[in-house]
Amino acid sequence: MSTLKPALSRHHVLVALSGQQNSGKSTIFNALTGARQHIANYPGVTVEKKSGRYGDSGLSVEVVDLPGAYSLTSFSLEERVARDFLTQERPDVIVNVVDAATLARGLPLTLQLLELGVPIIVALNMMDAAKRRGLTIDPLELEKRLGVPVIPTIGRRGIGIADLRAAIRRVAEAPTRPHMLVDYTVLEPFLHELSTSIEAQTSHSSSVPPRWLAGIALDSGNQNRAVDASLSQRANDIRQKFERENGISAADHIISCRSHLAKDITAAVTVSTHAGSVPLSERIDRLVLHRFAAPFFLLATIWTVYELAIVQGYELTKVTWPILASFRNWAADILPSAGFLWDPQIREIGLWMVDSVNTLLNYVPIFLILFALIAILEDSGYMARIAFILDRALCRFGLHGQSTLPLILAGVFAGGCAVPGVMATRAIPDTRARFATILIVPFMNCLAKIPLYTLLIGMFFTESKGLILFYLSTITVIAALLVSKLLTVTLLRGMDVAPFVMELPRYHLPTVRGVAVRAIERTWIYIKKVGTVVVAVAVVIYALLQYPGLSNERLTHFQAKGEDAIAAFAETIHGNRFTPAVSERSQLITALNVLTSYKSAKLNAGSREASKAIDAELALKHPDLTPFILRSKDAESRTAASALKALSDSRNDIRREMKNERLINSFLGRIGHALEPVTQFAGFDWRINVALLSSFAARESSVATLGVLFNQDDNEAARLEDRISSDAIANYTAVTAVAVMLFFALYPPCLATTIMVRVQTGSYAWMMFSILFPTFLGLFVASTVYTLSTVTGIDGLTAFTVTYLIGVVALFLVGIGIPRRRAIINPPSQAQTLEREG
Amino acid sequence: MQWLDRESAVVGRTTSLNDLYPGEMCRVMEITGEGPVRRRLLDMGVVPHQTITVVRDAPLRDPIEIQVGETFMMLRRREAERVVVTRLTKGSAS
Ligand SMILES: Nc1nc2c(ncn2[C@@H]2O[C@H](COP(=O)(O)OP(=O)(O)OP(=O)(O)O)[C@@H](O)[C@H]2O)c(=O)[nH]1
Ligand SMILES: [Mg+2]
Repeated sequence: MSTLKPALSRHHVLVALSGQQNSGKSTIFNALTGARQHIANYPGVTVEKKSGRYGDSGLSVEVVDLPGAYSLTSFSLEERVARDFLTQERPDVIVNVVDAATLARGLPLTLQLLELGVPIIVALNMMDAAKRRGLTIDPLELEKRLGVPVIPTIGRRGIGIADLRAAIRRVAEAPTRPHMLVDYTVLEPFLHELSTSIEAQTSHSSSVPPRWLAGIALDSGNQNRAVDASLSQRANDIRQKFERENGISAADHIISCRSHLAKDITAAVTVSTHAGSVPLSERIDRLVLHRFAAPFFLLATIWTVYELAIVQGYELTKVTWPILASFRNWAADILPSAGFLWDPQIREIGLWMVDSVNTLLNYVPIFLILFALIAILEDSGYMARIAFILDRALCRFGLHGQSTLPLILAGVFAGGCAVPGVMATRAIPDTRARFATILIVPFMNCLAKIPLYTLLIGMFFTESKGLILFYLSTITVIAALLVSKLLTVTLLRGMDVAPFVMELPRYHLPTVRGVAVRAIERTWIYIKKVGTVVVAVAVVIYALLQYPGLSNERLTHFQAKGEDAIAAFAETIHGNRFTPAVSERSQLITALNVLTSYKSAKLNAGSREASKAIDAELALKHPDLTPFILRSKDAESRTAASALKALSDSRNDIRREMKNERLINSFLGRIGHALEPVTQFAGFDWRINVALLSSFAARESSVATLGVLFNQDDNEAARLEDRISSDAIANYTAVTAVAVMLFFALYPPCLATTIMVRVQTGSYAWMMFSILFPTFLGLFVASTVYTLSTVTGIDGLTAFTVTYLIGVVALFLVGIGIPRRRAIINPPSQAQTLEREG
Repeated sequence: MQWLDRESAVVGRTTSLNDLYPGEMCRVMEITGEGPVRRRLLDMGVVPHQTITVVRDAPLRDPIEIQVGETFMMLRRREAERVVVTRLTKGSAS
């Protein structure tokens, strides 16, 4: 036992948290440092190392939370991250978090860590779960066997954390190398031989014990990266010699030595009071994972999530929307006021941004509920069961059981968001499945796709509303699965696949705090990530929609029209006793603006009292304008009010006309026109093109842009549906609507999502692919459906039904396959085998 | 036909983990092949001489859930196929 230099002299201690997946490392990390690292009852949640610090009377302790690793030899990325940190950064203390309820499985890693020669403290976590299983573990006995401090903890309730801090301090003050070594029996001479060679080599990093390096080199075969080339050759020779002489692989021998020692130690330190009894989790699973009941529970869960988050969340937005609306009114008030026909640039951009941000914030209640429910699913342990139930079905299409969570987040049925969906793909260990999931997540029905669907269904399919909604919510899943299969057998073909070997975590009761923290955190990430992008893009789209603007000639034309309207107004109120209040041009404009904000405030007023208060405020602020606005019995006031209303209407008409012309003339409008030769096959005219283009920034803008294109005006009573249908220029049919809906279902991810795709795939090429591929696919499908339907003359509903059925058949053909069975031993061969044995 | 198959499930015969029915117990003999799957299984406690119980099939028959010591884990049939075991008991469920 050699002593090490006390870390205390540096007043800074580096502590690494290491342990198996789901043993509670992140929970202990949070308890130690007060951080809010993501915790879930799902193996492999932490995939990168995270660090935090705390002070302990003058000692600054830096704690690093490492990804869960079952061993340090493994080939998986997380385990490599853990190993590289431990060997290269050389922490002063390793806190090995072990799940007390599954001690025998956790100890092999502990034994491997002991060989590293770094001071170790074992945090024997989940003591409560062990107790519930009837296991009594003697920490002192374990301490004696391992030769390192063992601290019992219950991370979730903060029990034992103070002891753990004290132990860290003690070890930092007087560090000792662990001295316990596993006896590898017949391998020992070979291990010794190799470690002597390593020691002789000067190039190896001196801090890692040669015996440890030798063990890794013998253990990991040809794939080892722990030693350099010449030693690796030597290791191979020695390994082969061992395997020749003993007839077993060195790796198997090493693992088996460790796991038997672990079992012996476990048996020696554990007393089991109700051995052989069925654990509670297993009793729950007998029902929840029962072959016939499982699909029912799964559907019930998804339905509950949908009902609570999407349906009830939508109800909640009706409560929160007035808050956002009053924010917009407030912004409208403080920005420089509007002119008669032209508004100051700053006002236009300002309101445009407020509107963009509002559409985003409108979803916050839904996200809070959705993320809270998902946190409950994760923390309870049911999420891992969903992967168990669905893995088979998803696997057929190149996905993975763990693709479920991203797809649910993105909105499998209706309503979700691709941004958190793409973010959640991190946990998928299988590279190919991860990429496939990232690329199909945007196909799901995100919340922002719904308004356009609703609009088109309201216009063309009022009778078969339910059916179309059903088609839309399922066809996206069908398309996503087919695309995933297509990509898996083509572009993603050569990528790494990982096995699906995962622990089924015990059920936990989620804590209120944990769930709330996570829901708020994820929502905040959404607001931050998406918010910044939306604001930036809103500016760009604004510019594309505004410029180059109207020609001088048209400007003069509109100016003249405006003057006419004002002249008409002046004539009507001539001689009226209220006239002096609006005699100046600036007074008149103020009157018009006051009228507009009065109207929107009234619209937003929830109650009669609020409405009365608005009247009272108006009377107080603008007493001279009140006769022009408030309803009154006075005849002259009535004339004045109707005149101002007429003027306001003509002003709105002229503004709308200008807006429309500006849009046609704008860059985006020109692009929309330029695309018509291509998109005509899908039945898209330039207006639809513009709407679809602008929805790349944020999907919800599709409807807003269509609103502008079809002369939307806030105070106009006619619904957009009616306006589009009555518009003579556009002769849209139900088939057009089907083509648009299909294209929209396959539409490329919105800008915020593509940014996430870039982050998660780490490549711009994949980001571009995620934009271009769906565009071409969507255009192809929409064109095919539109052209064929027009040629054959079928109606929209039939067209959709046929498309849907083709999708279902394709899904069936691709998805079907002979399931892998247990080997069926047929009688003849059985007889033969028996004969041979006899 | 089905019961004939059950008959073939002789105790002590070497077979693959994939061929066991829920409720059956077995002892691990070896894991064939190389690579990360094998490694992951070994690290999770599926080591030679370990006793394993098959707990259940997923509703679509794949993956399967097994109990290894105190832990429950799931693995796909493709991976289970590589685990060579000997039967210890005859299953009651089928
Ligand atoms: N009953 C009980 N549950 C605990 C305890 N400590 C943590 N947990 C729960 O165990 C689950 C896993 O905790 P995490 O901290 O995410 O585990 P981890 O080791 O960081 O997991 P990975 O990052 O996936 O490797 C969570 O649901 C925790 O709430 C404990 O002492 N007792
Ligand atoms: Mg973690």
